[in-house]
Amino acid sequence: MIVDFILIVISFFAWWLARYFPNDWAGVFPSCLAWSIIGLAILDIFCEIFSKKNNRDEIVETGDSNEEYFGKNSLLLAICVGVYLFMMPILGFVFSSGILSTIALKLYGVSGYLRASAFGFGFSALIYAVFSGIMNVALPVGILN
Amino acid sequence: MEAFLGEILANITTVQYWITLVVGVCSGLILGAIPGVSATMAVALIVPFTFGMGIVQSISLLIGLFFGTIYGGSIPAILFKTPGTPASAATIFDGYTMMKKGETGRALSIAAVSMIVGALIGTAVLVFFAPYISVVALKFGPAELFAMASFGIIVIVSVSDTSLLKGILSALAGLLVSCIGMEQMSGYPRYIFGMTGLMEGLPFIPVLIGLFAVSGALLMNRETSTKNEVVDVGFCELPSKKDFKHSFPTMLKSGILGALIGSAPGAGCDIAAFVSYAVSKHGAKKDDKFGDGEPKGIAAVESAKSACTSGALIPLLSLGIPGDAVTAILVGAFILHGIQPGPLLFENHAPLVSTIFATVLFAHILVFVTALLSVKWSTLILKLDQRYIKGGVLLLSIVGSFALRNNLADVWIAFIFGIIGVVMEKWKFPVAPFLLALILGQMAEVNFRRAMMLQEDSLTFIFHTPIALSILSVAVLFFMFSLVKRLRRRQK
Repeated sequence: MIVDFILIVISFFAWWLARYFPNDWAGVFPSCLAWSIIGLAILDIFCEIFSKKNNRDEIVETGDSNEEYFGKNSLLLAICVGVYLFMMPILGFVFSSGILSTIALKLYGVSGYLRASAFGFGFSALIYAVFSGIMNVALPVGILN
Repeated sequence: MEAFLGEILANITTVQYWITLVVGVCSGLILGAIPGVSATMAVALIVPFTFGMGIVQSISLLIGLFFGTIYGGSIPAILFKTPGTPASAATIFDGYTMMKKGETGRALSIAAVSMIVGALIGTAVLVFFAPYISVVALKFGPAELFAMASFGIIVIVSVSDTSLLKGILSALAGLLVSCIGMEQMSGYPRYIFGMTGLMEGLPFIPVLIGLFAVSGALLMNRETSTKNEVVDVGFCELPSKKDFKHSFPTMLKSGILGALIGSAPGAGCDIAAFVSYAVSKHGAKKDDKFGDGEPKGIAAVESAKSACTSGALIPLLSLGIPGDAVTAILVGAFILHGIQPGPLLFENHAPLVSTIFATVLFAHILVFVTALLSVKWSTLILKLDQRYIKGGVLLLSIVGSFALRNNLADVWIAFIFGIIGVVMEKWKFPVAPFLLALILGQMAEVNFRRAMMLQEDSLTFIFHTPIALSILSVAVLFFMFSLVKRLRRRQK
């Protein structure tokens, strides 16, 4: 149901922006899509409300067998990736990626900072060497360099 | 005739020919396995190296590279849920699930065998039916291309695992996202918020990496075991007789479908892979568990993909029209060597055409052999601690998104779509319709508009073109059949 609400908000925003498109067709297609999404999302919300009981039964039956989940550590990792993307042009790819992968490995449950950082910095340096050296990808070197 | 055969033999029996072919296939497999390197990018990267070569060597290098890249993308898709190329994204649905069950060797060997079956079908279609198919392909106008894009989206929606409504919503969301960028008919930039990098639309590779790889890296593992379950495999692993028998009809059907889709100008291997997966899932038997490690799922995608690579050469060789971006680069390579692809190619350069046909076959066989030999090594990677693999995948996803255009904005796109992927997985929204609608959105919109303009802004354009009408009718039938099937299941 949360996704339906998100879709309604995004579609409404898309339609609102599409009203200001100067060309007739440029706005027609996204507007039609936006209203179709809003309509179907509302329908889906109703469907979910009416079938809530059935869903509950289903969850009890199947149990939570999913071995991967989005928890506190996932949220922390997502924030770290966001910060990393801001910091990468400043710190450079190798240094910032080394820090990110060390944090990621710790969040995944790897014991020992030394082991995590050795892998993190080592793998970052390897990737940098392959992509920058062989494939000519201009990975950020950072202003520190 | 003797001179003709002599010329072909002279072309394909040189050491240089085989060296360029092997180098092309091997580098294709490696480049395809790197997230962020698409077949187009790989071929474009290598083209400058062919400037000093003869036509036969350069064609063997590029064809080997093209086929290698397309298959190579499936290896990380199965091992790490990270598709190397957009076409490989469909391999994840069953391939990654098989990997999670410890059946990596089985998944990879089925992929390799399906690849060669599809490749043989595609090559046979290319050699024997190219002139006939090209006549139909020439009739493909905006209405037909719109119908084909709609067919892909409708079929993938109708086989959604969750509710049909969620599938439709997911596809519509994908279509809405595909509106980002410059509207091709009027040139008006839509939803770019001043970012010029979005003028061409959202790049697919970062979106794919985000939806599958980044979202997977953001999720934590509940289980205490840190090792992946891996069943040991032999040096050259082949699928069991049972698996082969079980998947062979799907390989055949998907091969034919892939070759036909590939031969239509404008339709690429990603469409062939998704449509073939959807069609196979639609016709699944009761025991088939598509999406839960079904060998037929891998067979459908891999067979269609490799058949499509051969099929894409049909409009290129017989009409001179490139079927997709990779074949457009191949046209450039032909012209660079003073050869104009098209109907006259068969008359003026018959031995060269036959050499190309032989190269297509040899390249597929080489990819198959290399793929089989790499199964054991691929499974060895999985014996590492999966927490380190996850950390490595996260870094590779970042660099793979960046490498596409040397642009940090693409990494942001991958990150945002990573979060969208997590949300979609948590609330059971199917990813496949979203993805295919995003890939086909622009094609559908532009061709819909063009077809309407040709009929003076009338929606009746569909009824004026029998091919488009047939394609759309089949799509509607698919959808109705799926709806009825679901309603019956609910009644039970």
